[in-house]
Amino acid sequence: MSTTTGFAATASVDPRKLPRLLAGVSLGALVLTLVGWAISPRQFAFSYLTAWVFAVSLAVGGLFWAMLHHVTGAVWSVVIRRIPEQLAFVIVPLSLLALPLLLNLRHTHGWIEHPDAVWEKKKAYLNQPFFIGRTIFFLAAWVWMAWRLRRWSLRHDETGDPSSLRRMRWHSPTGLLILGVTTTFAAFDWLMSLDWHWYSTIFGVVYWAGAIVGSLAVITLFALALRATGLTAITVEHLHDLGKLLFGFTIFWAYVSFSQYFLIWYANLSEETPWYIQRMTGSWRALTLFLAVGHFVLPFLWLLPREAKRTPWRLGVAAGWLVFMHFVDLYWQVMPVLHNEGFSLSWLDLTASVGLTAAVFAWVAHSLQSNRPLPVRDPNLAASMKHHNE
Amino acid sequence: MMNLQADALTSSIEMRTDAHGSEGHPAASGDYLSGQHTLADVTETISRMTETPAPRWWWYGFILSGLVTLGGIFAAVYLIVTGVGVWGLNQPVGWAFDITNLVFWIGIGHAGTLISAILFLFRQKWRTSINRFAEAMTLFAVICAGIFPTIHVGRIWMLWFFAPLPNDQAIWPQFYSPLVWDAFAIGTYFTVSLLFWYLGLVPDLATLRDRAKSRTRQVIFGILALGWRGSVRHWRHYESAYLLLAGLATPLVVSVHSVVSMDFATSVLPGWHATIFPPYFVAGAIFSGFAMVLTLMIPMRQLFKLQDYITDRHLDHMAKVLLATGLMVGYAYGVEFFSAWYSANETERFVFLNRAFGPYGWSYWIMVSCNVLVPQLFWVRRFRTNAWVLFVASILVNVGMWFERFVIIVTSLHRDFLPASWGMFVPTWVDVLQMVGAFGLFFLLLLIFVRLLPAISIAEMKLLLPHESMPGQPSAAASAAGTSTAGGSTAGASITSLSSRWPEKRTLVARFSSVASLSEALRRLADRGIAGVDAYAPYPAHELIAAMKLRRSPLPWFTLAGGLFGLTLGLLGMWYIHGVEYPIIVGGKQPGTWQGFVPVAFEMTVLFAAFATVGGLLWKCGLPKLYHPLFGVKNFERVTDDAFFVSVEEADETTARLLADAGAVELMPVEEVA
Amino acid sequence: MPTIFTPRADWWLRGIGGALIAGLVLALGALYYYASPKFTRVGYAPAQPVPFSHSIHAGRLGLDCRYCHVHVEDSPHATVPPTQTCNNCHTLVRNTDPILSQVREGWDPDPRKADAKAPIPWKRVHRVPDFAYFNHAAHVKAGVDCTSCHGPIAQMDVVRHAEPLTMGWCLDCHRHPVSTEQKVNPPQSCQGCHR
Repeated sequence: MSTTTGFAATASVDPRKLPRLLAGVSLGALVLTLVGWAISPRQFAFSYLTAWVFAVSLAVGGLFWAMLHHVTGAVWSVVIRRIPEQLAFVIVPLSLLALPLLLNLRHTHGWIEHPDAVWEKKKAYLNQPFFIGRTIFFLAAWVWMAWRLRRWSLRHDETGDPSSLRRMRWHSPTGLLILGVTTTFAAFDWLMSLDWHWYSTIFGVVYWAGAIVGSLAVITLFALALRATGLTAITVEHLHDLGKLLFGFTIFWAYVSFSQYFLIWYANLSEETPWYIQRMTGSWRALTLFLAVGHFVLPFLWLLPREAKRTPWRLGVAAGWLVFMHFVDLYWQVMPVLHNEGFSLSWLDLTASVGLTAAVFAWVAHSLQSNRPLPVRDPNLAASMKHHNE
Repeated sequence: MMNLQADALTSSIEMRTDAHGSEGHPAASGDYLSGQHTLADVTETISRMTETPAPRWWWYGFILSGLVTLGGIFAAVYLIVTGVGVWGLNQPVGWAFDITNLVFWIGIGHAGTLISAILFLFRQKWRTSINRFAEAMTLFAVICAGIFPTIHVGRIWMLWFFAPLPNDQAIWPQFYSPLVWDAFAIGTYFTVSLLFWYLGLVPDLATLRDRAKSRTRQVIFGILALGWRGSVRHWRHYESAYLLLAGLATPLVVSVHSVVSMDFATSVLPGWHATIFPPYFVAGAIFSGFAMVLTLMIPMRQLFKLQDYITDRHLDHMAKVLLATGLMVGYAYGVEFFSAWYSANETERFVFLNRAFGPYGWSYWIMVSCNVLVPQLFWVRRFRTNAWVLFVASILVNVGMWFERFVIIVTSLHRDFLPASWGMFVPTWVDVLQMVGAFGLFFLLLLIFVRLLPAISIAEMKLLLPHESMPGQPSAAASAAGTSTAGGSTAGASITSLSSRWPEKRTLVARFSSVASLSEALRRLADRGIAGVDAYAPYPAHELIAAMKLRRSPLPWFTLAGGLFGLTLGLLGMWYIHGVEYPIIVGGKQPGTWQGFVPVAFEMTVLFAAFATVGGLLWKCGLPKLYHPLFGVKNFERVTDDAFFVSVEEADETTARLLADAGAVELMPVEEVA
Repeated sequence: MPTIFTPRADWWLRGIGGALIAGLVLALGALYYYASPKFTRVGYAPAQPVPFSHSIHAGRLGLDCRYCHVHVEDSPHATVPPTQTCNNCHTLVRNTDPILSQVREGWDPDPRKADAKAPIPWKRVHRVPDFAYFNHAAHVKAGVDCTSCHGPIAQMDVVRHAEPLTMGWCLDCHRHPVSTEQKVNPPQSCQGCHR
């Protein structure tokens, strides 16, 4: 096993230096972002919110995939199980990075500074202390779950004690339940209440779907990277499965997103349509079309052929693109609140998102290098490596 | 797939591999098929259910459900000749029992395709013993569902107005109407489910044909089996078609209940208009469908003694699905309630409070306790594998799911925006008789089904057999092993007797008793580059396809072409009807806006893709072909049971010897049948 | 094992299958043709109790339609004339012709006794269903010629149903009205006719 646990130096950039490189990029971008905080706090607040919600969605999605693996008792995914586990653990630094967000709520969440009659009826829920309390609670719950899962998993590598596996299996169903409920309310708080007049019951599911696609794309990228650097346990068959899931969940995202749009379009109610009208007029319209084409039509067509899922570079292009499109999705949800006159890209959007995303990648890459990338004592590892698509 | 005895990756890795598949659990494969079984044994157990005289309990059930069905027919006829007023519908509550039952039955109809298609795509082997039954259940449930909107329209002879047919009235279906989407979605769902079900049945129908003793059964099953002869070349296309149909059926299942949910959610009625409705309805449908499968499977496995085929692990899995979907439904209840409050809209808030604490509050609490509380039992493993607990819980879940639809429909309608038009709904005896009658019809059709057709997929069950017990009869396996090593044993003797009447090249057929010896023979034939080879097997054995070095089936291209054709036809048709021929403004939407076309365009895509797939399959396989010289070959009827064959065109003596060496049990030229 | 089917069976299967499909297509085609009002209504020309000829009266004699159908311009109904209208002329013209016996017998010169006699039981030729509202006045005033709907009535000895009078046929005109005299805007919504 020892020959395949580390990275072989086959890539042009020494993979061992990759985490440090990414961390450097992240640090630089975040320092610039902090400068932006001083220059234009309002733009900073929105840019940071988008970037942070994006990064958190990757971690939450990682937690989802890690627990789903245990709930379904899947075998094929044992070889890639470590990636979502490490990805989920990113929630620890991201929780600390929630501070700038919570300090700037008055900029982003308009109900704090512009309370009105509609807000009066919701203030039992939408008030700053409760909001901050909830955010802390959600983050704490996720940190707790991600931490336990990772600890059991890594401990199992050392001891091979079946009780660790049993624990992961036992806690994953309840974990998914907690994750589902907390993510829903987190999405309501962080994103939906930006426009506190608007509401949509499916909103939590839409955020979920996006997080699932985005995190799966990140997992796929890391699986490809591990494979490229010599981890032969990840075979074309695993890539094929990842590709199928990516394909399926892209459709799922399109399904729930379209459901939300379609029902609001059809019913044409004055309290619901403004959210879409804003995104369908002016220069935002172009971004909406880009989102529909880029997050659904293109990946759908690209991933449809069997070979696209089995060819590493083709799968990699799809995964990288979907990570980007997941960011566009969240950007599209957040930014029209700030720039209701039309699409306008700020340099802070770039620095904040690059800073936090690079941090996520650096963290995961580092964790995969400093720990075993495979759960070596998992009893299904051998079967997983032999996995074959019929 | 075959040999998963992993080559000692590291000695420290503890290995418990599934002897049969790379997926599923780290436990033995016997869990989905317990006991010792052979190929012949599987054929026998499952076919016997349709061949022996009906047991007494069957007749009791048949007569009882037949009588109840007659009651339903009476109610329907009474309504048709009298008018819809015989139901309890009234001004604020224009939909009640009828649409409740429609949605209920459509929901039941979801588990079949879910089990068949989605679990197939996820390679869940445990689906195999229950998919056939669940698919039949789907079809019958959709038939039951169809009754209610059909008679609800009052003048049922006007139903064809749902179809976009040119007519003297120059009127067309209104494609922005969710009810038209419903007609398309349910119609497509029924058609594709029927194709899927029939496709799965074809090899089993061939088994029944080959086992049939009476001429009538032979002819009927002979025609229905389309001349299936288990050819590996056919199996390759067949498996591709099955996978493609599963891939088509999966989004179709989701679309059907989403469209049904849009009957409500596209309106502006509080309690109906919620964006979560499509996935919430789909989850609810899966929930109720699985519950119904359990309600039916548990007695059936007792009555037909199928405990080996439907094991406790099946029950365990289904209970887990119930728990998961029950939680999803509970999530939707909660989010809906929260959103109603969060909306700050007085009518929204009122409707939800009225649901829980108004005059129909009791139905709301029945719904919550059956759908959310009851499945919580299944956190405990002991309850998941206890047939009695599961049976009772599954019935309660269906009661709860019926009330869910009742709550959504009736409580939202009975309190209108205008308090002056508030009212109550009270069902009449016709309402009740119609509902009960649908249950009668459902059970009647199921009872007829289990008597006429194999309720468990025979061919697919054979895939679950552990490989060691593959040989049809132990003696044959031994002799086959003997020939391959020693050479001149029984099979060799048949060569000498054969060569005397072997003057010129003829088609030669050889029988094998195991898939291993047959694939060895095929590999040798392929190595020699001998053409005109085909093999025949009772189930789709992948090693045979691999051994014959066949290319991938081209069927996906048929599916793609059919789908594109359906999409184009749908979009052009709707654009012509609403943009050119009959532009009409509905609900403030511009004539010809694309959004309203999405549901029907999707259904048309799936429908034609499915047609093209099945058509392509028949074309590539050259079926139906009722007569084939092979059917005259001795013992060939066992190809749908436990025997394996290979045929070589223009075979010479060397080929015959090769087959004998590979372990052929029997060698024979094809008889010319006049 | 003897085969269940002979080689001819496949021929039969395809033959019967093809025949069924062909039969279905033919049956649907027949339904389209024979069940349409273009077939069931057009050409209906019942013998009337009195063999009144539009070709003599409206054609050769050049009587204006409105001489008999007096309310066609101001009422939804064109009105079938009372026997009195016939007798305006036929007390003097052909007043002994046996084919006009019903015209004479169904009429009393004393207007106070006019109701005592049964009217001539004319057979109705053109009929619009109860659920469709048709107004003669609206159409005539909009410049629709009588012959547009009733065909070349002035050349008919026996009145014949000339046009299908289906909803599609109505809509043809409502969607593409041709009027030389005035701008018309016929209704195309459901409640325009189904009131």
